Amino acid sequence: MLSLAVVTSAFVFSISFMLVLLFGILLPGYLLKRALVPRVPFTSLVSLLVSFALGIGIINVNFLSLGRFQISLTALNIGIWHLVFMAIIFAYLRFKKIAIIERWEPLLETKREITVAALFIVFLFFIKVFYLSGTVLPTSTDLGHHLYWSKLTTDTAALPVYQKQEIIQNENGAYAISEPVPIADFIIGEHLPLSFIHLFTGASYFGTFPLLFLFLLNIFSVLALALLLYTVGVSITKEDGWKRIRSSTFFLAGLLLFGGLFALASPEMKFVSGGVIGNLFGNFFIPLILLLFLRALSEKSAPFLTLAMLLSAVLAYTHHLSTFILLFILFFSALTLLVSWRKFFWSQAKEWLALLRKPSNLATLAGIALFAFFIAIPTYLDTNAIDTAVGAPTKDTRTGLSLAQLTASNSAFKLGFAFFGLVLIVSTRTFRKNLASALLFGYGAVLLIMTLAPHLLLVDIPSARIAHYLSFPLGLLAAFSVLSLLEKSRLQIPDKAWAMKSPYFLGAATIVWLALIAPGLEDNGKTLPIENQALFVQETFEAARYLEERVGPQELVLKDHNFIEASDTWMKLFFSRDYNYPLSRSFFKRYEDNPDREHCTLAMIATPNAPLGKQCFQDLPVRFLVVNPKFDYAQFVKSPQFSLVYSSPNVAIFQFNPPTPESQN
Amino acid sequence: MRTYFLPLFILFLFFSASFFLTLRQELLFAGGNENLVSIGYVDPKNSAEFFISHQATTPRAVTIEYRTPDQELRTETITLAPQEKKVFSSPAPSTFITVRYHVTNTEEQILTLYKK
Repeated sequence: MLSLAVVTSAFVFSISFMLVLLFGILLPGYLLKRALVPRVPFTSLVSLLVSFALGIGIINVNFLSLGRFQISLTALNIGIWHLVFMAIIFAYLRFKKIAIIERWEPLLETKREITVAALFIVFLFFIKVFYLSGTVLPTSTDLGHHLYWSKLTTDTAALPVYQKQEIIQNENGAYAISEPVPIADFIIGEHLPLSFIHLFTGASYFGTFPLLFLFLLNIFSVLALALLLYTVGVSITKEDGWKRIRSSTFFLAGLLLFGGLFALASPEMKFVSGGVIGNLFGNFFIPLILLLFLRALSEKSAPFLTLAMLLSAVLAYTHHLSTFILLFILFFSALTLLVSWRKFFWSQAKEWLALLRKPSNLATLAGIALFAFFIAIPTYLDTNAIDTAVGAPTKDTRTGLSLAQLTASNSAFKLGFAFFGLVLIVSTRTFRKNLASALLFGYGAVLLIMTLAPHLLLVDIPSARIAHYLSFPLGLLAAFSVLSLLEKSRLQIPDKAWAMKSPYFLGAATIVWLALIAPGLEDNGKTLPIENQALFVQETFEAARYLEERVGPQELVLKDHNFIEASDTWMKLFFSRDYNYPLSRSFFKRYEDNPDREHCTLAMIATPNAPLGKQCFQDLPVRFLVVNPKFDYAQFVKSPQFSLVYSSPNVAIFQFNPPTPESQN
Repeated sequence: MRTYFLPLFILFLFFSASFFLTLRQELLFAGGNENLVSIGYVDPKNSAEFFISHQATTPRAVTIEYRTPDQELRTETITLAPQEKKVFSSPAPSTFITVRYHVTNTEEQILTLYKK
């Protein structure tokens, strides 16, 4: 019921969240930006995004530094460190007489453009909030996994050690729980910002703040893409002598295309509600870093290079796959430029290297290296992790998608226009000899190859994951080709007011835009949720609370991932004993696909009275089983070894009673 | 003012979205609570007592059924106060306890407990 208490609670939380965002993330990032690049002209939106990105980096550095020196990661210590950092930066700015408030370049030129941008942004928020309003409950498996580590950090006030215990079988055939083994798939930068927000808002991990943070990342990704398109537009409109379409139009086109419609439709919003934290960070950082590199090289600006390198380092500590993709994009863009514009490339190479040799950039590189060697190195930077990503594809899910599969995940229109954009760049002299087009081409081409034929690049990563990254360059290329067509066709008509006098052109343009955006609306329609799962979530959490108070220190819990209606992965946040606690009966297909995988978790629930089930219960101290009684009930009821000790409509807890010598006789 | 507008506007929209989504979650949870009911042994190791707990904001009737060792059916109907958790003494071990939670006059949830 909508009571004053509920409204007040939501309002107070929202205020505290915004205060942490403004003063804990944006302000430190902004101050650092002023100190690093005081004389660089930014637009207000680029300034916002760079401040946010640097703020995330500062949080990671502070946590990692304090953790390295065994200082407790409490709100007080982190807060003091943050304040000290800001005070040092502030003092530096005053000493160097650098103004705190920077002057921003205008991004949009007319009031009408600002109004259109505002409307597009409202539309962006509306459609995304509408989607999220049905997925706002803590149900996502991935988010549950990630938040375990964030919560572990704040509960223990120490950096998490990414490890888990597993069921193993020794030489005698007996099952046991292993010593903790390292997990390579989690990267610390995914978790520390959430720990930071929890520390300073006091909000529960089961509340909305994780989802809101990911939503913010998604919004900023849209802006980063639109701004990258704008930066490309600035270069192209100038060098190709465009008369009608301005660079601001590129920004507006980016806002419309990427904002809530097809390019960021179902996969991205599913990432937000699904808690795919690393990918969302990558989706934000990659276009922003590319924008900074583009400006650094085209304007020969050392400060932009500094920012690009710093943010690349922040990404490296946040998501391994995105960092891997970024490196490929940069390499391929350079290769594109080298092939298409060899003379220019070599003539500029010296100046670009000179940028790198500037003291600020050498100091940045040295700082990153020192931090990596003496404070913390990304955990995935070991031979095993690199070996598993590089090489010939090892599974059929990594051998590339077909064109049909690609069209299913990206609309045919977008794909068609994107291919046209690639052809346009290759076939137009001005575009072939343009840095921004080289970046666009390299970005699109390398991801197309990685998606369709990964073996050519020795990439051994699930192709569906790579395909998610492809959505962005396809959107950029599609927007570029549509705007190019508009500009070139307009040049044939001398009259400035031609569009208003040509209903045929207006009609054609409307049809084209509708065709581009319609599949995205359909995409959004498919991902709009329909169920209210609040009751299921509460039932799972109540069962977890029941067990949390009653399970012994040496006892194990096994839960089912197949039939429990919601949030079973989040149970680990209640126990906080191990990443794999409670043990989990995984999806049935995983056992079929991997016969070498332990089958105890399957047998103990599915066939507890069969020989394997009995052996597993004998060897492992599993005491409680959490299942959905509508699916798993009869096999326990008919056994003398199981009692039903807790019951709710969709979650039940069975207790295993080890057989006594008398009962066995 | 023109240059400041977009970032401020975006942050304002985000604040509004935060407030709306947080309110939405709280309302969803409150709605889910209305039908949240569970039963369980207070101490699963000795099963001397069991509880019935619900989060409905209105009183709800529950009927407890079990058979005595003589196979006599015992039935007891009580009313739980809003959001009450009530503890009962368990019948003899190895007894199936059936609890009928009356959501409405026509709708009920049936839950069971037993200790072997």
